[in-house]
Amino acid sequence: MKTFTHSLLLSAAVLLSPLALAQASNDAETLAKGEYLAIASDCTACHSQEHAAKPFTGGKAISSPVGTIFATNITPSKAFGIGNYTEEQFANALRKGIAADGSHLYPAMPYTAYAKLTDEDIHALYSYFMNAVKPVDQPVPETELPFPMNLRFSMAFWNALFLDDTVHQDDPEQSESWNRGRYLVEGPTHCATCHTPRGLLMQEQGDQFLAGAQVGPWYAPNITSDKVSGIGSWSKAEVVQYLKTGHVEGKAQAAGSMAEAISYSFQHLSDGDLNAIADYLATVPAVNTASDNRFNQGEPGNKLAAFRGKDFHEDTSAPGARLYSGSCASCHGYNAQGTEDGYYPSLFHNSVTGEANTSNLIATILYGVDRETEAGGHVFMPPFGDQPNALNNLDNQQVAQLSNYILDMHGLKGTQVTPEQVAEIRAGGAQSPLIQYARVGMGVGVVVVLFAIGLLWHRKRKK
Amino acid sequence: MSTSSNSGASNAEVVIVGTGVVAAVVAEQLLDAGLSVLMLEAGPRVSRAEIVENYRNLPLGNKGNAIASYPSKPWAPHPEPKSGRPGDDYLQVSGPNGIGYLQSYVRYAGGSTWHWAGTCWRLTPEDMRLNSLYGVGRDWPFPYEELEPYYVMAEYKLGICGPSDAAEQWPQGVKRSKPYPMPELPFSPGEEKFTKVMREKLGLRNVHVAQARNSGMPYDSRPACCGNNNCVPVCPVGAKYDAATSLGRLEAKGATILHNAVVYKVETNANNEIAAVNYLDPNKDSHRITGKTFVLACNGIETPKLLLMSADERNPNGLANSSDQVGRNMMDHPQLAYKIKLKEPYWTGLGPVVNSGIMETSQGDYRSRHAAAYFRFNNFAQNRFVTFDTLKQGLIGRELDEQLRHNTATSGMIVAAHEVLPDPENRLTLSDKKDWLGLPKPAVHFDVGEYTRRSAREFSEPMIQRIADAMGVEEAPTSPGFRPSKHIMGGTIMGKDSSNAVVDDVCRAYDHANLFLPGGGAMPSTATGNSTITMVALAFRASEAIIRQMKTGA
Amino acid sequence: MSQMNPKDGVQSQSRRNFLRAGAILGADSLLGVSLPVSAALANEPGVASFMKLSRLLVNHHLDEGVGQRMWVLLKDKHSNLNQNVADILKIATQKQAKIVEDFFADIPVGELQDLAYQIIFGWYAGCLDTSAQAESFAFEQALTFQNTADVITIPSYGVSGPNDWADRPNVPVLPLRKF
Repeated sequence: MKTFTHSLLLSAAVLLSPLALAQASNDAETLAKGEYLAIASDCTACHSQEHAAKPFTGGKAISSPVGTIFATNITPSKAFGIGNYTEEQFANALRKGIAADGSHLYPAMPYTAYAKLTDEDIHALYSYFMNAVKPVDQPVPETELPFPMNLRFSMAFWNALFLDDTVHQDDPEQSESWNRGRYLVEGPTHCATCHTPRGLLMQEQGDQFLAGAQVGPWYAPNITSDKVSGIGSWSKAEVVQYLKTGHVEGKAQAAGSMAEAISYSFQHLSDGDLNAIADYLATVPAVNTASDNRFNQGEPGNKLAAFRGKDFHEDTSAPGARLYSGSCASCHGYNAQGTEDGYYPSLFHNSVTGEANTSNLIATILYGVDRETEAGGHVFMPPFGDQPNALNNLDNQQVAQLSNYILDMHGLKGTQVTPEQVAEIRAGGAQSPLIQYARVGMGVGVVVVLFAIGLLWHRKRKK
Repeated sequence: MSTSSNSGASNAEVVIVGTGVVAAVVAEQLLDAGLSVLMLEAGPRVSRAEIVENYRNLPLGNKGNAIASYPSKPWAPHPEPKSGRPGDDYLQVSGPNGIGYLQSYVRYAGGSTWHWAGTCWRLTPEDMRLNSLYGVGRDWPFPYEELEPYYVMAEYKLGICGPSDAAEQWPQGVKRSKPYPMPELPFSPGEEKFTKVMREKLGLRNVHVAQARNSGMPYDSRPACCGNNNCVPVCPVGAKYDAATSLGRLEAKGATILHNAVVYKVETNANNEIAAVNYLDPNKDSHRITGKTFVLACNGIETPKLLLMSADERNPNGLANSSDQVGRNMMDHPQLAYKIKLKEPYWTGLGPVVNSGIMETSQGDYRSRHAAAYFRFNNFAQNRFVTFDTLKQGLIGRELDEQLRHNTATSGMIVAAHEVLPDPENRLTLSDKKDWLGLPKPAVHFDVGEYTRRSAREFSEPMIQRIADAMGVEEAPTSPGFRPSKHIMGGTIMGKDSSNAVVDDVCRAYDHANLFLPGGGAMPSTATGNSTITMVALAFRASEAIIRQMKTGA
Repeated sequence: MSQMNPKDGVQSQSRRNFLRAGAILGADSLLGVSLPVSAALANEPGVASFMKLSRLLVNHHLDEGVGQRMWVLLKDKHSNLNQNVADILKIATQKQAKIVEDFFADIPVGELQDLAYQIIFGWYAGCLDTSAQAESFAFEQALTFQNTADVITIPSYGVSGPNDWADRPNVPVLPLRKF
């Protein structure tokens, strides 16, 4: 085991870059640029437990399909943060997923995206974190993943297989805006981390770039240029509006981690950068993943006459409709038409109900929406799960009934939600089979090999 | 929802009877201080969706009835006049203004804030010194300055929105130690017009109501108001504070909440301290809960009723009643409500149902002669009040639509809400009539008194006519007489002197060192504004005393 | 216009979006699809005639399910409901009526006119009488609420984003809303 670690440390040390001798800058321009990049990279989404009160102090529990990962303190605290990092170590953490002590980061840290960051931007980020972020001496809980994921060195194999660590290069054939957009999408804003489906070993699947993927209880949908299943039908202005407010009427609204990304990151980007992102996204190769356009499904309507005027507990032919009326209609309207100003969205012509993957419908019901932007205000839909502030506590059966009513009346007809699916989303989304595979399959192989090496090494020492 | 509520819990450091706003605020303060809390609710625990749907399912002829969405359970009746339901004749009223004391309160987990409007007028310094300043009523045992910090706590706990402009704030010209946590809610078109007309024609200032409702933003993990115009009988989205919104949080902090648990006897020990409360479940089985400190937070009718029901050898006239003041001094804000028919549209029905008021009329030296009153123009959508009469006219087609629209736009209600003085003869007693569990029903004798009648004669009725005239009415409005504002006060009145008061200045019963009776029952004066914010301020004050007493014995 | 603050910008943008959404969907389609309360009632010939008459007596979008509920209640009260409906329809046909004003005056005073008024009452009030115990079959879709929904709230249903109902004008009674 030690052998592996040693060789990794060695190889890391060999990878000396021009950054090795750089000093953090302290000029306003570099610091501002670094701050902007930190926002674009949405470091705070994971590394701040209390976004406003204690930025970058870590400790936030990130639930991943393989277990809970605690984000680290990335303030320049020497005891608990990155205060002792050289710029090179900082660069290696961001671009290679290797911490200063040589240990491997889990790819919950999107280093496969940050690998695209230019040296200049790394320098600005480093300068910002070292000179403009307040050091906070606060430890964070240890991440303890189940075996074999707790073997961090296994990430070395993973990196060797899946990490493309070539820094972004402009394509001279394309416009400046497109190149900037590509850099932002592939690099700092790390869209692929959520929107690109992952393979058996949790690696992003290159041929499915931005074609949609499950992220815990939520589904990050297809945002390729496909006209039917992607966002190829959106205008550039709509993409920009979405990134600024998290809402495009009659199309989509951000919840879950996308709401965070918009609240903390995208809304703060310059119009130029948002347009650049839109420019680039429009050219991302179309991947068709569905036969129905999720933005134009469904229609208004109701089944109120089935139960209006009758006792609330009386049997009804429309239990889903009654759940809708009691919990949803007060904001979304009795015909699911939303409010006239569009603030409360209609549930037809809405990506959440028009998508064949029902995760976002279930998750929105269970977890609500919390999104705050300067242009769109603080959007807050209460949850309907087990939370103390749930407006109504709906059980799995009720959420399934409600979802099926909404899908049938206002969304993608024929889509079904089961109470079991609701239970899974309530529990935080599907767990990755990776642990099982690793334990019983490949993992067994790796462990056997390791064991053999260990034995050999042990025997050599004995001799 | 289960009818069995006994979780097996039988004790806690603090036992709270009630789950309404006062109980919830006290409970949270105590939980935050590390004390264990058990709460008992007589009625059921139901979902918001059920109440919202109950409202929507009511026929149009019953939609104006704020209690109809809350049908009583047989074991926990609350007043439901003319309903044919368990609460039909639960509250027995008598006296010259008996019908003016037909209160409306909710025996459900979450209590009566389920159907309050959310109005939160603070008292003024003068409101608390009626006797010193005007020679009437009672003074509070402490000045406004001592209450003010608790008002701030109430405003931040409940999430009370209000104007940031000092000229718009109530009380006027009195320093606030902290701004409201949220800005005021906007007026409806009718309220805008009313405000302008009052200012220009009568020189009166109609100001934004401070109200426990999320204005323009989420607050306390509850959503912003989206103008459902349904605060009474229920906020369908939880933008209005009601105690039901806090129960889940209390449980997350460790509180035990028993519902369908009707406390019928509070027990004393040899030291005349409270030892236990006993409750009946829907199967009429009795259970006993012990604790160290007890809080009765069932507001001004159920709390004195329970004290009277709990009479024992040591306390033959009922608990906490050595002063003979338990159940006396029953108060409210007797209101005169006038339906008006306007010449021009004053569209009401956008935003909260009570959203503004003319408070400045409630102060003045005239209070040595007659009661204060404040005036308001309600903001309910008028459809439910005008539809039947319009349909009876025999119109059809376009004419019908036009007439309906006209009547909706030009109908409204103006209200004069009065103060009353504490009068020992306005008294709650135990009726010889029994409820479903065999417990005595409460009976209240009520007379608004000459002080308030004179106010109506000399002050509020003429003022209403001036207001109506300024607004431009088809005919001079009339009122059916005093009706309750459903702000139950008195019953366990607070004072410095244990010979004529039930509780001391922290709402502790003079007769029982470990019994607290915070809430409206303690209020020595009513002023004219809704009582809840003052009840909550008293709840904070009592909580501090409870914590102090339990942690240090002081 | 040059000094528009960002909030105004968003508001006007969202209004534009709304107008656009309205243009795409058409105002009528926001009224929603009608669904029968039960398949049996949907095929009941009495209901079909009742709905046909209702659409002549009330010149608005009417919900099929609400009509079925009302028909069931009316049937209990009027033993010869179907015949009366047919009689009134006949009058309307004779007058080639398209709207209620075209034929209402020709409905004879008495049983038929009473029924016509009651049907109108039902569609506007969502119940058949004024009592507190009446069975309600419509609230949101009761026409008295629809009639003013462009200006004020149908109680319990939100009207707009937080506090965005501010500064709505105190409009004249007319024009009528289309619904």
